[in-house]
Amino acid sequence: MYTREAHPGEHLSAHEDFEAKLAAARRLRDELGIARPILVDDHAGGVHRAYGLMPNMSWVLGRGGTILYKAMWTSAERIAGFLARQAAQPSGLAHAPFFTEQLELRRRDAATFQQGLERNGPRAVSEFARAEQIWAERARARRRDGSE
Amino acid sequence: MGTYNYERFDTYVESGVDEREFAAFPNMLHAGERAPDGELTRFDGGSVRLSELWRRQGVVLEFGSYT
Repeated sequence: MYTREAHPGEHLSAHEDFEAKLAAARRLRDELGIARPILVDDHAGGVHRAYGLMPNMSWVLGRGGTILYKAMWTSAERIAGFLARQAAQPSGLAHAPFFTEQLELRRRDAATFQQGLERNGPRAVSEFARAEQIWAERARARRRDGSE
Repeated sequence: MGTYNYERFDTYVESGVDEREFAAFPNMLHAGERAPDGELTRFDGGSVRLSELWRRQGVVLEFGSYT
């Protein structure tokens, strides 16, 4: 599902209206060669807000709309593993669902992410660099305060 | 344009909204609960509700953007 633009830049800025958002989603499909079906949220991000506003989260919803899998970041490997376990799980009264929660690791592909920023122009690169400084300042402040 | 479609990523981060959004996520919508429904637009101009998709079969939903 196509959301707001996470890192606006010279090449693709924040969406002025829904038509701009739809055009940007088409560019995502065409320029990056996304073969999966892409659905576009409304301009105000109604569905994105309802699911928690993470930039690259993923969910698996069962038939009927029950949440089966929730992840703050997308990992194709994790989703594939989950779907494989789902497909293999037995059915019948001898088994019952139970809730789990895990903290997992994802591979941070900094080079590919940087290429994505550069694809959208120097402003996307410089604003992310500034954001990293802000995050580092916050982390230092938390350490000073003893909260981490 | 409002805060949702922010124009500057550094200003969005500086505002602290990113921290609040990331902190809220683990505490909302859990496995076993009913997923929110909503209407989305297809490239052919038509629209589809998530509930129409999950009525027939399960759905893998990934959220993302160009960057």
